[in-house]
Amino acid sequence: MADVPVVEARAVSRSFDSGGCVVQAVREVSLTVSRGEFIALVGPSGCGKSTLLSMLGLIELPSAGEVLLEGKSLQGAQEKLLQELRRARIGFVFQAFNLLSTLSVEENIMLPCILNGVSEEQARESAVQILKTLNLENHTKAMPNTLSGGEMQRVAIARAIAHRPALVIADEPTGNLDSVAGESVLAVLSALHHQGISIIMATHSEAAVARASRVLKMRDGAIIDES
Amino acid sequence: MSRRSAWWWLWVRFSARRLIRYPQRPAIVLISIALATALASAVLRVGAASIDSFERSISGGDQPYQIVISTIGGRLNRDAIAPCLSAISARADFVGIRREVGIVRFEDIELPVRITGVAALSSGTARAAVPGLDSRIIAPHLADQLGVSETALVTLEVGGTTKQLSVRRAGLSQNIDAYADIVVMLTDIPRGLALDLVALRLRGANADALVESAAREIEQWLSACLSSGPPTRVEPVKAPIERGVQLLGAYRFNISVMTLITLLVCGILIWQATQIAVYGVERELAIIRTLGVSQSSCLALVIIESTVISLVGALIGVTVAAPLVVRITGFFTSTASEIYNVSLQPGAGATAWGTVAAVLLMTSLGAGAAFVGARGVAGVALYRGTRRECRAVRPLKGSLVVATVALISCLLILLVLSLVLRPSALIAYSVIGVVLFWASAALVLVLYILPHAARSLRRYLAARLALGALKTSARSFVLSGIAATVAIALLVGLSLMVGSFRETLARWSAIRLAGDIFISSAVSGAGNEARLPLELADQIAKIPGVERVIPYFETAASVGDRAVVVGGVDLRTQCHRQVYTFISGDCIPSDRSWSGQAIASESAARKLGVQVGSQVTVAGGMYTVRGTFQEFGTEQPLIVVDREDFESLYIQHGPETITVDLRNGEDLLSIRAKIQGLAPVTITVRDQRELLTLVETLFNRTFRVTDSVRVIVFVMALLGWLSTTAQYIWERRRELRVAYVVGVSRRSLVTSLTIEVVFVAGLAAIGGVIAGVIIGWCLTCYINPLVFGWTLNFTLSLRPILEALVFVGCVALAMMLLAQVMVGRIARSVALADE
Repeated sequence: MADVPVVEARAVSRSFDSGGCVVQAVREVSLTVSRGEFIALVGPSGCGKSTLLSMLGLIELPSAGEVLLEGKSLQGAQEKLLQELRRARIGFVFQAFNLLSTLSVEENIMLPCILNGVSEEQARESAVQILKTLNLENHTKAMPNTLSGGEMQRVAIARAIAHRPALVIADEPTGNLDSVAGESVLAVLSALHHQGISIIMATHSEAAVARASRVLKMRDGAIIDES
Repeated sequence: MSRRSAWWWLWVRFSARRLIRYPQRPAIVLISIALATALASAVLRVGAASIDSFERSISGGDQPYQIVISTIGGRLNRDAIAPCLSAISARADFVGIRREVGIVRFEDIELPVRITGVAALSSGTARAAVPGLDSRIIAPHLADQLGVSETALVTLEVGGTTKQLSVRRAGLSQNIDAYADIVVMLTDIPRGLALDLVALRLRGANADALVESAAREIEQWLSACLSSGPPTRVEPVKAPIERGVQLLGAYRFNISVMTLITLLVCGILIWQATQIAVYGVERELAIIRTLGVSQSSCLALVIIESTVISLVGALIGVTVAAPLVVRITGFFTSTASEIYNVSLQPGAGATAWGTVAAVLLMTSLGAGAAFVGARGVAGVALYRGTRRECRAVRPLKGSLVVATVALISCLLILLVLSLVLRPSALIAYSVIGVVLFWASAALVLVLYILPHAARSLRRYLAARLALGALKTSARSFVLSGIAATVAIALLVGLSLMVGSFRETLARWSAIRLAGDIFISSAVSGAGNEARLPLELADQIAKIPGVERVIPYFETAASVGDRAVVVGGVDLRTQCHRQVYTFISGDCIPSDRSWSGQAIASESAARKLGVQVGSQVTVAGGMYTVRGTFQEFGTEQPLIVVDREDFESLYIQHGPETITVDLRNGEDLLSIRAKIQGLAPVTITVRDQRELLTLVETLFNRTFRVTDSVRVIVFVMALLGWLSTTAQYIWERRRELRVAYVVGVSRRSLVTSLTIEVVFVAGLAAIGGVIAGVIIGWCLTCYINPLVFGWTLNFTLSLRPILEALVFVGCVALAMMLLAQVMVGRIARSVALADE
């Protein structure tokens, strides 16, 4: 089991119809993310990083090729199965934070646990624990709109890991943050990596790249280099 | 935690909390639904209650059984029939039914009544002041005319005598008499006055078999009792019921149209408000779907939230807005009561029905709109949905729009061709329905094309911003534009129809009412008009200066089993005076006799199925129809025969009216005074101008229901358009802030929003006016002749079009002010902090 990659993409491609013109966002990309790996995906804007991440995170299905999550092929999988896998095995961190504005910080973090059937008390304990780890214990009851950008992104990370997913997908998590806030977010992600959580992150930040165990360079929808 | 508990946990935080923390958007939906429910509830209440009450009043459910004693020839003298009437209550063998016989009244009679005083007194005070004072409950519309708010002492001068009455205004829930009118409630008509009919009312309903059999017995007895006097007819009332059925048909049509229009506009209002509210949570739904919440759970979240808002809104609508409901109900029922001469009182059952129906309908509409919106929103691609920049972009699908417009255009052309080639009311109504769709679809098409086409405008920043917004967010505009188009189309269509009717009637009146002086009886009644003295025409002809006297006779008769009105006039003279507007056929040459010939009104031609050359048998005489003519004086079938033929059928029958032509240059006022002097109390003398004014007044009164439809459509359209456009501008506040922060001036932002609003308003005005003209044409040229039997000339007047433009201008102005306020409140420091 330990040898089975967390997620694997086999020659995946994704094209979009944009105003009658077909845009090839990702072209035959193959990629394996092993357990505990921290992968940085770099490349210019529009090269297909976010599209590749959304396929790995089961948000989008590839137009061609297949994605395997923990060894299981998801070719032709129903939305219901994808939704269950997203809920249980994957955590998301978005560039725009995407916290739910009507839920408090604590409730935002509790949400994935609640959706996975954890009791409210346990979900709350877990959320409080994570908030302590991320130095956000003073903001437990705060609403997202009262937080700074860095704090919001740390809450988003907390929400992504609250249900102990196998994989965290982070799409430019420091893109909206200043250097100090960005550094604190990267520190959190590094710590998660050291705890054995697999992370794949799209980024433009050199500081983020420096923390990754593997770096993949993309251009025009394809991986052109790996280091 | 179970799946269900998890869902409720999320609902409380996601939906319920948003209602409290971010109440602006739900508040707009709630207000829209409350307003729509208030109006819908009023309309449904009025519709249900008044039609029910109307049906009761004509079907005999609550109507007292009536026996009418009328003349066969000559006049009916009260003194001659009084002994028989008095004897009814004295007859021992009627003892079982005697108590059921009500006051013998002179029904359907109007006397020249002058109200000489109205004093606001309580009924107790009035009774104390005037011993033996009669009390009356009067209909609300009559109370308004008299200025009676609750109770009053009214002094009347009737037929030369003075009478005082204590009157009390009827409450909305009060079941007043169908003919509750001071004039017809007077029982002390001057003795010795000749009358056309007397009605006996038996308490108990028509449907009551016991009362009916008793009535038969009384009828027979009265016939026998009166057989020794002048020839009389004793029969149960039939004509009012038949007339009532016709009126009910017209009333049902009016109510149905009004209800449909109101519900349509309410529906669009609620739909638009709910859709915008649902699209507002698109991104958040995408986020929770990314976190693993199923699409069906997302749907349920939105639907339950919308249902709660809709239900609360609907309940507020029917409770807080109750005074509005009462006002609308009162306004409509009093107008309708006055026009149709029936008492329309919403009963408790109808009120409950209207209220419950409105609440259910509006709640369902809100929930349904939320369901449709949520399906689109919850099904949005997660990749797109979680990126906020894509949130407000809802462009139109060009191919779909073009295909829809092409399809509806083809359908419309086919329907219009069918209507012209093979007219039918169903096709005419279909054209109206399809033209509304067509105008809406055309608006969508232009909304799609113009931002692409108007490239030259892009050099101006404000225009560029506006065209960009129209292009990318067209779907947000569509419904408000459609609501405005539909409203303008209906306003213009109804106005054109009424205007065409008015023009046609004015032209018809000018031709038909040729003459200088018109005389009619001061004692007149619906259904069986009172007559003038036989010798009056000869007396008038002897007055110096009178060139020609044309008496017109009329009576009720039947052709087969169909009730008709038979008119008698010197047809040769009338043809010479060219007073008939012939639709088919014509007058016969002046050197030939009119004996055995007749002309038929358009209504008679349609209802009796006669045409030029047909034979009709009236009162035993057979006549050949020489022509059919336009007639707006009565909706009943009218057959006009020559005076000599009429007089041979109806001996000693006084004329209904007399028309007098004066010689050129004669003094109208002095001759008029001389005519009035011939019979000062019992005749009314009018000149042509007065008569034309009277016709216009009656016309305006009849079309007050249409006016109320227009008012309701106007109010709903205004509210709907304002609220949806306001929501749209509110939705774009972040975009406006961003534009401001990057350097766009406040003036450019206001100009940009103004261009958008004016653009949509202009499109709605153009589409609405075009559709309105087609609707007006359909109503005037097809629905009126086919449903009501009147041929009208379609008149394209500018007034309704100008009214529509004023309406559009008001909305555009209000929106510009809103834009000004919103843009003026942007503070740069917090412009982007709305996460």
